[in-house]
Amino acid sequence: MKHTLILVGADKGGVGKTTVARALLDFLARKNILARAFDTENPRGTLKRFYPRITEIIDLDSVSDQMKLLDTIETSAVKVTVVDLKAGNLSTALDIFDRIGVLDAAAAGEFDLALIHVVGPAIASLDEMNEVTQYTKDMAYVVAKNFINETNFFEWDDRTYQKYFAKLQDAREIEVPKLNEMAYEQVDLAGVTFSDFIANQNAKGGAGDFSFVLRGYVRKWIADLDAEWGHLDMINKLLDASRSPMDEPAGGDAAE
Amino acid sequence: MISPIVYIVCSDKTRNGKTLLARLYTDLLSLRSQRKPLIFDTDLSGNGICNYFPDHTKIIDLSRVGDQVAMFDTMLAGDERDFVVDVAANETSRFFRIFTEIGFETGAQEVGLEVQICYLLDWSLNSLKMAAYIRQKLSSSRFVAVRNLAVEEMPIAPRSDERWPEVEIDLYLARLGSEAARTVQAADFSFADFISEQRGDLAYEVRAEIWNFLEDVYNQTKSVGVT
Repeated sequence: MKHTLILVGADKGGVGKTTVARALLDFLARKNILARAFDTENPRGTLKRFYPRITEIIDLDSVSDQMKLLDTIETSAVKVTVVDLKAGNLSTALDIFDRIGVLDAAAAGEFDLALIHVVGPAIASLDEMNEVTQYTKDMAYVVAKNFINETNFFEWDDRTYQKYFAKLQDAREIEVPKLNEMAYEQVDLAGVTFSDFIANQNAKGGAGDFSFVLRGYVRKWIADLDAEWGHLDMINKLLDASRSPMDEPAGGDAAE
Repeated sequence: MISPIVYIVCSDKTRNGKTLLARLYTDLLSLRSQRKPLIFDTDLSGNGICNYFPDHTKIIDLSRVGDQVAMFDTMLAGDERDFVVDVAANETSRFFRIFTEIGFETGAQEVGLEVQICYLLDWSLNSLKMAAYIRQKLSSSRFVAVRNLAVEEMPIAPRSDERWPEVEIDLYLARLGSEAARTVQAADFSFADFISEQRGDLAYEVRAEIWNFLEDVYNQTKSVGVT
């Protein structure tokens, strides 16, 4: 199985980037695809709070941290790497990856590269898409329209949106459905993965005391989101590879 | 040991005896257990079942997730209590959307809570469609179609090119005479008190009529295997 590097980012803060990264890691874990994660929200790292065992906080401006991420791609037994890029850092991160040859290496087929670009309902988000396309030629580019933390959402003018989106010939689009605010807050408060919340399991691995109603909402949301992941070729490629008898069977926690 | 049960009484229309049926179930449940059932009333107008059982009723605003948690999580707490939910007509769709979305039936099975949906329907296509819609959403719950004969309506036949859903009626509520109907509608009337023969103040004819009404309900539920 070829290594896959998945970047999750946005140039605008508060659009649900880390939520999408968490949802992706949750999906991969449920499909028994081992993954490791890097959180570039240095020094805090929201993603690390939910995935402490498989997440490392790095500073993308630091060469040693760039090495931690990129020099281990070939050697890591875990074949999927998810990078949650710091808010407002997408273009900069892509520029760094371009300068140090990551994009060229992906273009040469050394590993698969994907970008999940989480966008909000503003024209600024549409402008972002144009800015990043200079980097996305040789990667799977996914635009994730995030409905999760908005109530009256995506009031895009359809014509304007189409005008922007039409330029992105090879981009795929997914919608992150809305999750009830209280359910979202409770998962956040519990500091557990979405799957653990549904299974009523607390951060220490013991029985949780989470609301059945809220667990039900999260279960439905995850099921809807699974359908969205299923639309993506890069995800299906990972699923196919994980089912391949040539690969070692996956199991357990990647970081353990 | 008898399993705890929740009766969910609902309809797509108002003023068709929904609250009367919810009250009847509440009283019957309070006779079978030392612990009175907890009632959830989703009618925010304050004119629902809360008028009859103010001390045992929680008003639930289904548009609020906190209230959804207060109702569904309480029912799934597994504390062996019975429940009655009086679903306001304008909240029926929302109630069953939530019911389905959160997987309430799975939770009920896990805690051994029996679920019975009692749907009052009339002769209209919309009523039948709603009944069929709810019924097909259910997996482990019992669906009981109820027709109240006190609601005077002309049966409507489908046009020759229409295909209406088929819903077999499980329970008919008999029509009460005006005096008996007034008696049972009174806020201080309790079927439990009546069955316990505490209403000797009522006229013999009224008592006989209400007894017949209850006996009729009892015999029907017994014959169709409804709890």
